[in-house]
Amino acid sequence: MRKRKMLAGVIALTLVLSACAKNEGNEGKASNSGASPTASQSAEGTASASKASEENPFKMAEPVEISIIKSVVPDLQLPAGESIENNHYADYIAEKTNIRFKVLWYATGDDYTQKQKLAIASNDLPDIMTVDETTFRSLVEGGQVEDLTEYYNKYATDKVKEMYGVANNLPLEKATIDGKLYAMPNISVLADSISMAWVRQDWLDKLKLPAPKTVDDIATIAKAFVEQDPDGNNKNDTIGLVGNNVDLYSFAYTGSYDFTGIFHAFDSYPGLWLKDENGKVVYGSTTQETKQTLAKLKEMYNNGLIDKEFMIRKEPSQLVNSGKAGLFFGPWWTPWPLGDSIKVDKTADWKPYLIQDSQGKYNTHMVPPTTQFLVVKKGFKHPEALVKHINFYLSSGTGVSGARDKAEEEQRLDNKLFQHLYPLYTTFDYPDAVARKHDMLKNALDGQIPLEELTPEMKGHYDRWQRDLQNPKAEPGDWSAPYAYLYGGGLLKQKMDKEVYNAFTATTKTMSQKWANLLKMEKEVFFKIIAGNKPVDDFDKFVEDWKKQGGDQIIAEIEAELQK
Amino acid sequence: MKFRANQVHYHMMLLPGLLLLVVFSIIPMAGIVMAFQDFKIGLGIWRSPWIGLQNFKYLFELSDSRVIFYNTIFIAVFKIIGNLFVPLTFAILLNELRGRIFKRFVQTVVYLPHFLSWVILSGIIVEMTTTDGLVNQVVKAFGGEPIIFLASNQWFPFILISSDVWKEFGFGTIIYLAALTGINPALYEAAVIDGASRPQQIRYITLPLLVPTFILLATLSIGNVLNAGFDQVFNLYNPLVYESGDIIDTYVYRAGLINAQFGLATAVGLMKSVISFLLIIVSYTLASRFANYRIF
Repeated sequence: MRKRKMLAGVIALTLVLSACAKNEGNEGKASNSGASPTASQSAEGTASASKASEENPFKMAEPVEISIIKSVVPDLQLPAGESIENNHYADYIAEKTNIRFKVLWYATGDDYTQKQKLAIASNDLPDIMTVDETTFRSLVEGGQVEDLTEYYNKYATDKVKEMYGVANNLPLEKATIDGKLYAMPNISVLADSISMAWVRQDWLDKLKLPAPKTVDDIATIAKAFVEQDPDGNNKNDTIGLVGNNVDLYSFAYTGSYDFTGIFHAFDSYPGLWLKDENGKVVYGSTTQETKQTLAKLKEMYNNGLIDKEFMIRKEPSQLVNSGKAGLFFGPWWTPWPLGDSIKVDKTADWKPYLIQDSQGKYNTHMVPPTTQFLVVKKGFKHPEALVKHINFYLSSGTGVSGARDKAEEEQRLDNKLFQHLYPLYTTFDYPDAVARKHDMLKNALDGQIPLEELTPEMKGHYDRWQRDLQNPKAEPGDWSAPYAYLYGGGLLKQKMDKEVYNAFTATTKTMSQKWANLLKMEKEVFFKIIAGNKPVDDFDKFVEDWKKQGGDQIIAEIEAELQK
Repeated sequence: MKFRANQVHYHMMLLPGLLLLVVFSIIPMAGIVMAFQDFKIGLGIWRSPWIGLQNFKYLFELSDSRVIFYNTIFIAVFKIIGNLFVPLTFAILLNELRGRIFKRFVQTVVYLPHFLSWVILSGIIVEMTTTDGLVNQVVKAFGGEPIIFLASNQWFPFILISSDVWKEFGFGTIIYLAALTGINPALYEAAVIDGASRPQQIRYITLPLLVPTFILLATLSIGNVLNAGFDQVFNLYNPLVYESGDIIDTYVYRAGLINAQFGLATAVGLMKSVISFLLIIVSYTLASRFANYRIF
């Protein structure tokens, strides 16, 4: 559970980070194109002075009111006199876009989800809201939302189209059913998919081991960590590869302390729906590659290279933080949780590595290109308002008249409140945002770009890193974020040879009935193959059972859905 | 029953409680219809398609259902047995103690775990049963191989049952002790005069007089035959011991909350409720017949 909470926290964090990325894009672009702030400001002046015309991609001709619902953090501090509905952001947006958002209700966390489900169940919808894919599809099925195709084609700006383009238009495909676009989908930051091996470099150096490249290297390192007393306390108390008691792998946002990186190195993508060379849908957990991975994991477990008790480890981070383990798989943002490790032991020198397959290729699964769908209630009079709102949201740096302007926003808006108060806020960023931020921080540290060009967020990380360089690892808060961007983010520059997307991310009819059972069967068999006494060949029986107990039916349904 | 004007205020006092019951227990029962639907959040209760008994049919077809029901009943029954006999024995032993302060002290200490949540206790149990934990230290001291108890299908149900009994027996003890104080001391005095030894006093006085309490507790616990303890299992189990530890409640949790199979989860929950309801009726009838226990 803890792990999941942490994951949620970090996702929330990436949302915060990407909020700030908006401005960064703006700045980079503006300076590259040489457009001076004064020029764009004056351009904007004329825009607001001239009568708002139908062509203005950011502004409604007449003021409109749109009802929304809002998820807020529990202890949000607002400036005096402001509320979730009426605040300086709302005024700013209303002035720029002629859209006034009316907050029907707001709630925190799970309450919000529950309330939203209730609202949907009773068809008491706000004009515009954000939903997940399964809900999106059922809303479309229930005819509860507007077709946005013509509005998108007519009103979306080039910038919006370009950003979807960078994501290979995959988000739009997800939001299109029967050839009609029913939502404005968000764009995920893809960095969160990649699983890296985080290794104690100080232990590697001490035992004179090379950096890991392949699964065999991981095994060698794990063996050495178990047997050669890397922490030098003359006790046989260190373990090899860390695992956890819930998941062996992740198939969307990469979790920590699982074996995702090893699966990928075997070209296996458990949990994902794949398409084979004939276009047939295959479930990733039932492939021969997955069997091979399980065989390897079993061998490693039996040889003591994987934590003997991984299946009962609720808090594997304890092993890492207490210096008992120096090898695990996790995402690029791992330095945040590792803050506790360096607090305990300053000599802990964590380094991330990508693991190759036997052909020397880097494989990874990818988080769905979009996870949030902005939908318009059926019968709402101004569906184009949503498109214009997103046009404006993504307009910074375009220099077009009426677009967002960094200098003005810095003056008028409290950046800390951005993701709390910006209406319909969601992750809408370049898929490679983390690598872009890595470059910015790195270039600033190398003195290649002036500090003034840093976004407020990256300036903060720059300052933190400076403090950390003076007094290394004294303050985990100064170490974690810049370290994550410099090392984890740096590794993301590596071009992946194979990027595998989940071919289907919603739920089908049979899935909604049988998935829990199939998943249980899979988990039980996989855990037992690795750590119990089930032979690897039981995998074949599992595949058969899986198909018989609903798998085949689900695949047929998915293929039918994908035909749509 | 005749209506009496002077009792109106009593009925008024009942109202808040009734209101709570209606709002939080009776109205939500409407949600039971989900068990007969292919429930979709987007469509809601009103528009989700009806599928009759398909959820139940699927439930019985599941290869897992047998295992889940077996585990639930196995674990629950042994917990019930343990929680009946251990407190009984303990209460009798405690009753034989002379030192009042020591008796009270022991009574309080064994009662304490009852107030701890399984979230905390499970952490302690995990620590105790790891390969370096207390239990395995003992195993090793006797020359045995350390066992990962929580990953072993032989040991897992035993750990569930014994830790639950350990947690709850103090609570049961108090009920028996209360019954023991109700026994007329004159009986013991008479027995002593007749030359009865202490074991004989227990055999012929204490035990027979505790039987009604015992029967009452036993029959009332029949309603729990399908409650194997969600908190406990959820905090201790892992995929390796699904085979011996997955119970109805944990299955419903995974199906309903994690996989959003609300229809199926409701069906399982409903079935559990119906069986439990029947068992409660049976146990109430038995209790009123054998232990003279009546609610109304």
